Amino acid sequence: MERLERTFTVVNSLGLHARPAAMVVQTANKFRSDVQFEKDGLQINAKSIMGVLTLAAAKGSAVVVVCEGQDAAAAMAAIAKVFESGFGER
Amino acid sequence: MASTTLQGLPASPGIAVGRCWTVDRRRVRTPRRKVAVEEVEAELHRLESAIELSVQQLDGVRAKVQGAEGAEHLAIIEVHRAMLRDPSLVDEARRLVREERVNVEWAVKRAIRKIKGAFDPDDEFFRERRSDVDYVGERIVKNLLGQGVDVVETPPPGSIVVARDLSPADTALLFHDRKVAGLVTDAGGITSHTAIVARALEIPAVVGAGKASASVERGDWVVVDGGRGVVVVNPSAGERADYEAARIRQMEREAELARLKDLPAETVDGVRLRMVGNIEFGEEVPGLLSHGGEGVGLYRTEFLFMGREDLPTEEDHYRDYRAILEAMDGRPVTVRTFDLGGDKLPSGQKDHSENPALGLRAVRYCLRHPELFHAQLRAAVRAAAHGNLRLMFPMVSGVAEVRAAKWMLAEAFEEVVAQGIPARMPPVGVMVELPSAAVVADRLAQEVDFLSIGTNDLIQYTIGVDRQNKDVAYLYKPLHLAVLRMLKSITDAARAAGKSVSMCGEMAGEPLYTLVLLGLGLDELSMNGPSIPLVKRVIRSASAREGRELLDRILGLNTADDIERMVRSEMTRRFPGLLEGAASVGPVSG
Repeated sequence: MERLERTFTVVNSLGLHARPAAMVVQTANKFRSDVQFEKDGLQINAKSIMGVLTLAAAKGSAVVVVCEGQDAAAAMAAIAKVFESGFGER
Repeated sequence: MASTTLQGLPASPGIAVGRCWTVDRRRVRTPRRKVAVEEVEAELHRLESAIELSVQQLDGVRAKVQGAEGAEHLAIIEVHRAMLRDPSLVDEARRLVREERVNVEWAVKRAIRKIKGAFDPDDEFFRERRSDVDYVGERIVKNLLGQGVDVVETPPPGSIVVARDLSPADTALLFHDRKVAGLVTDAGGITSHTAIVARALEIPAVVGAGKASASVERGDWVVVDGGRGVVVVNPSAGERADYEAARIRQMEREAELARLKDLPAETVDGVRLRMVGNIEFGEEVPGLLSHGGEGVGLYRTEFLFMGREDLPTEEDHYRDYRAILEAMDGRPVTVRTFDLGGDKLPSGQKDHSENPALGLRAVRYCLRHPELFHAQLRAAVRAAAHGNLRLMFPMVSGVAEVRAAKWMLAEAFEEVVAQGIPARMPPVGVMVELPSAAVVADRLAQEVDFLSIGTNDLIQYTIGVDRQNKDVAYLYKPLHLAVLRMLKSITDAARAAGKSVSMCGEMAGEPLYTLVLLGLGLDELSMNGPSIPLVKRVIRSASAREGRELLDRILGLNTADDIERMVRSEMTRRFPGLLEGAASVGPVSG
C-alpha cells in the first residue's frame, strides 16, 4: 500500500466552488485508492461532493491531499492535474 | 378583474408581458414509519432503485439541454448527480434503515438534514449548496413515492413561468430552448441558480415575489419588470399596453446601444476618446469587451488580497496580470499598484489610526512595505512582456513619491532582466486624486507618461467630505466649482506637457457629465463596462466645441447647484430622453 501526500494551492479566483468540486469528486472516484483532503484541520473524503463542498476552499488556500492505496500515484497525478489547471478556470 | 402588483427582487432585467404558466412545485411530505427486520433488505433495494432512477432522470435532463444553452445548467446538474451517489448521503441513509429501522424515505430526509448541518446557513455559497442538497433529497423521496419530479409539459412560447420555486433541473428544462418570455418565483434570492440562469439567458425575472404563485392561475396575463423587481398580475388593458410599449422601447434602445459597440467614441468634430473599463477580476474581461471596451483603464490589484488568507506571491500577480493582458489581446491594460491601507488591508490587519483616509495607504503603504511592493513590481514588468501593460501609482501627493516609486520600479526591472527573465519597462502614470497632486499636476506630468484622475477621492479630499457620512454626504458634488477648476488645471497641465490624461472615477461613466468631460479634453474615460455604450452615444452625437463652451459657461457660475442645473438643462435639451433612459437601461455607474 502506497501513501502519498502533497499540498496544492487553489488558484482559480472563485475557489473550490460547486463545479470544481464536482470535477474533483469525479476524478477521485476513478481510482480505488482512498483520497482525503485536509484544510484547516478539517479532513474530508474527496470522493464525497458534500465533503469537498464543506471545505469551501477560497483562492489561495492550501489543501493537503493524501492518496492511499494501490493506485495512489496515478490518483495523485490526476488530482494534481485538476488543481494545477485551476479546475479549468482562471 | 383588478390588477395586483407584487414587489420582489430584481433578478434579471427587462420587461416581459405574457400569459402565465404555473409550475406546481409543492414540497413533498415525507412519510415516517418503522420497518421490520425482514423488510430491511427490501428497503435498501428501494433506495438503490430510487437513486438509479434519479440518476437516469438527470441524465435525461442533461441530454435534452446539451448543446443549446447548456453550460449554465450542466454544471449544476453535474453537482446534483454527484450528490445522488455521495457516500455521506447513501451510507448514512443505509445506516439509518439498518440500525434505526426507519423507512428509507425518512432515512433520506434525516441524512439530508445532517449534511445540511455542515453548511453554514449565513454564508451565501452554502445557502445555495443547502438548496442543492434539498433538491437532491426531494428527488429521491419523490421517486420512492412514485411522484413526478421534473416538469413534463412545455409551456407555450412567450409564457411567463410562475412557480413557488424551481429546481436547477426545472430551470434547465423550461428555459433551454429560450421560448419562455419571463419568470417569477415566490422564493429565491438574486444569487440563486435560477436567477443566474435567467440573467445568462437574458430572460426578465423577478424572484422572492412572496405569494405570486398563489395569486395567479394559468392563462392570466402577467407583466414582469425584471429591472425593478415588479410583477403585475391581471394588468388592465391600459397597463398592459404601457408595459408593452416600454418593452419595445427598451429593446430598441438596447439594439441601438449594441450597434455602437464597434463604432469609435468620436465627436462630430473629430475628437476621438478611448473608452476603457474599471475591473477587479479577470472574469470581467468578456463583459467589458462585449460592451465595446477598448482597454482596461483601472485594474484594481488590491482585490488579489481579498478572500484569501496568505499574501499573494509574485507568481500570483504575474499569472493574473498576464491572463488579463492576454484576454485583452493587445489592448492597453492599466494596472494600478496596491491601493491598500485605510479600509483595505491584507486579512487580519486593521488600521487603528484616528484617520485612516489620511493615513498609511496606497503608494505610502507600498513604500513602507518594500518587499510587498517589490513582488508586485517584478510581476508587472514580467507581465508587460506579454501585452500592453501600463502601470500607475495611486494616492501620489507629490513629485518625491513618484520618484521613489519609479526608482523601485527600475530596481525591480533591472533585477528581473539580470536574472534573464523576459521583461519590459511599462509606461508609468500617476493617479491624481489628492488636491496636492492636482495643484502640482504640471510637475507630475514631467515625471510620468500619463495622468489618470480618480474623481471619487479627488472630490472627497477637495471638498473635505466623507460621502459615506450621511450627515455631510449632500456636500459631495462632482460639479463643485473647486472640483471643476481642479479638473481643468490637471487636463491643461497634461496637455501642456504633451501627456495623455484619463479619468477613472464614477464621474467618467455618468452620461450627465459627458459633455463637460469633452470640454475638459480628456483622452480616455474608464468606467464599468455597461456604462460605455450610453456615454459613447453622447460623445458620438456631440462636439468637443460645445463641450468647451458649456465648460466656459459653468466656470462662470458660483454654486454647485447652479452649475448642475445648467448642465442638466443643457443635456436634456441636447439629448432628450437620455437621462431617464440611463436609469432604465441599468446602473450607470457603481
